[in-house]
Amino acid sequence: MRVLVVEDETTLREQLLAQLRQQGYAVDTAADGHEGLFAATEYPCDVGIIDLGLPGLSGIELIRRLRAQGRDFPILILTARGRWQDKVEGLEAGADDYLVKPFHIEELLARLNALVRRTKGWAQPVLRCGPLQLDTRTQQVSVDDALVELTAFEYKALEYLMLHAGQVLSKTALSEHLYDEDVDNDSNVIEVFIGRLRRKLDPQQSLRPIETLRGRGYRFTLNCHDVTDSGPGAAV
Amino acid sequence: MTMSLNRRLLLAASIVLLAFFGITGLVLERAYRHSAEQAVFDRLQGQVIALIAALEQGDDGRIYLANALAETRFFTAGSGLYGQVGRNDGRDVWHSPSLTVQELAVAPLLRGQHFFGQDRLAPDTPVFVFSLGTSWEENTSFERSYTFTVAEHRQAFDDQLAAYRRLLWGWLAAVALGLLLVQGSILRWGLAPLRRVATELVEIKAGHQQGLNYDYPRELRGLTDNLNALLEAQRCQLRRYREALGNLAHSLKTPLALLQGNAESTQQDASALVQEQVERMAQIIDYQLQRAAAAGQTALTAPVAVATLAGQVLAALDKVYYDKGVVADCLIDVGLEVQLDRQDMMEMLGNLLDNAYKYGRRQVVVTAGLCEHHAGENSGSVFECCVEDDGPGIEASQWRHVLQRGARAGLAQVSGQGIGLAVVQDIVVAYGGQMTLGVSRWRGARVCVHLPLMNTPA
Repeated sequence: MRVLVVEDETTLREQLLAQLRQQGYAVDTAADGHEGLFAATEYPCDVGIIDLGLPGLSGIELIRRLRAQGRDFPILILTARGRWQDKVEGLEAGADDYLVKPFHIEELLARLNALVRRTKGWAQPVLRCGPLQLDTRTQQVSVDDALVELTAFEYKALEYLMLHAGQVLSKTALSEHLYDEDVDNDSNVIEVFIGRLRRKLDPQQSLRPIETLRGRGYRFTLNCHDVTDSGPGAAV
Repeated sequence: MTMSLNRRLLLAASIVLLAFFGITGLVLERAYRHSAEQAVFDRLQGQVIALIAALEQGDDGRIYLANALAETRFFTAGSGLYGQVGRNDGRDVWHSPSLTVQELAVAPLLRGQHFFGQDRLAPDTPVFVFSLGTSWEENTSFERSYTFTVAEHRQAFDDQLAAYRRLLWGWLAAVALGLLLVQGSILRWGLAPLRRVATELVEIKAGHQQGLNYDYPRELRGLTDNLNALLEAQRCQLRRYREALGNLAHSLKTPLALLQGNAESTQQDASALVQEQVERMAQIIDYQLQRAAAAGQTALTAPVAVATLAGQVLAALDKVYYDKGVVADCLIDVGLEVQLDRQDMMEMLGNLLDNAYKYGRRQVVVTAGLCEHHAGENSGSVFECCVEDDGPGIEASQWRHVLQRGARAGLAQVSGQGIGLAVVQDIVVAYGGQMTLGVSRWRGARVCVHLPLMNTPA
């Protein structure tokens, strides 16, 4: 899961970077609006965290431009002033949620999770695909109600696969969305990693949740279902 | 710098006045001159006719004075009136005794023809000349033509014209001057209220007075009333900022003291305490800043379309509370506009609706409208806005407490979720309105704000 952080305050930016990495996110950072615009066009973001009070290109203007370019990844705005005027303006510009500074990192992570999940069409915080169950709140994964121990990175990768269930994901796409650094296309990092995930989730090889499509990539095959009907919402 | 109003008006009036009097003077002078010339013409014509009556043609064809002439000036040398009669064949000329120096140069005229014009007898003797052609019958078959000429010195005419001119221009100048003076004093009088505004503003700037107190004329009252409202709003704003800063300083000291004490004792569980106090400080800052930012009532606020604003807030909250699937109804007349500060309105709606989304289960409704209210002096319309939800509601025993928390702005009591209502309460107080709590149609919470609207001066 690749997240873009646009925040001009160095300390906060570094803090966010460290904590998001710890959570298994791939992170790009930018210190101002123009840098943010560049980063967003350069890297495939899954979610953005944008401070409203940016120097140069303001946060709101940045969001407007991103949306105008057709970039529709969910955006969480950070605002120092808790004014509703700012919040409403930011959300109108195309952001999806807001957080008033100062905030708890847990709160930020929960909002980030919820944003990604719901833009992929999941109304509930628990993703269920066959016997596989992934709780985005507790970050726990279980198969047939038996907990599976995963690292933060493995968890994020599985979440990414489940959120894109049924879609073919190329090796390049996977490496772009999961890794911070460029992964050499010829290297077998992804193959090794998928193999490890398969062994952990499906030691008996009876479930086969991740299918390899030769030359094309991977696909999460289990049949996923939202627990309730998709929520009534104004999401467009 | 642009020209002062006074100077502009005075300059424009002066130009108009001068042009008017100048043209009037010129026209009058022309008309007078024309009629004076006409008078000369008539007079000289009369003299010629008198000459014709007085002169006779002798048998030898010579002209002689047969009857007495009433006009004695013909007989006084240099009198200024001269007569001359010449035969058109140039054979004989009669001069009046007054014409001593030389003959008048006159072109012979045929019977019935006449000439009127100016000439000079000598370089320093300009005259008016009138000639008339006549003929006398001789032996019934033969006619002889004569030209009768009378000349009059221009001196009298010029003197008369000069006297008239002096009189005319003198009077015109005097009247123009008088009018200008009157104009100037009218301007001074008319613009006096503006000067008064300027002096009062200087007084306000110097801190000697609070607003514009003078009873200004109707045309200026809109300006001065708004200025007063603006000044008052500014003062309120300043007061709120000062209070907020004072409160901030005061209330931040408690958590700081706690932190300091903790740092000194270095006992267990420091991070939890730091966390807790930092959070508290953040809330205090938020609360005080939002409170201070409330604009309050001014006459200069542009009207706000309430339904549009509520729609914006609802759309924002729908995004934020997407997972909850709240159904919100906005029962506000699309045309409803009120003169309240946009940001204050946004803050109120934002906080009220945020609470409703947060504590409600699935239903939220917002209503707003104007109602007339009459209470002696303060009759006017009141803006009423209510937000209802289907949550657990606020217990009636808590109402007083919740309302007071905002009103007193006691910072110790500001905690977590109550901050929204406290902010709304502060804005409502800034507008001199009130907030009421109640039970909604779904037995949840119902929060209403009532804000009196300032009557805009007509």
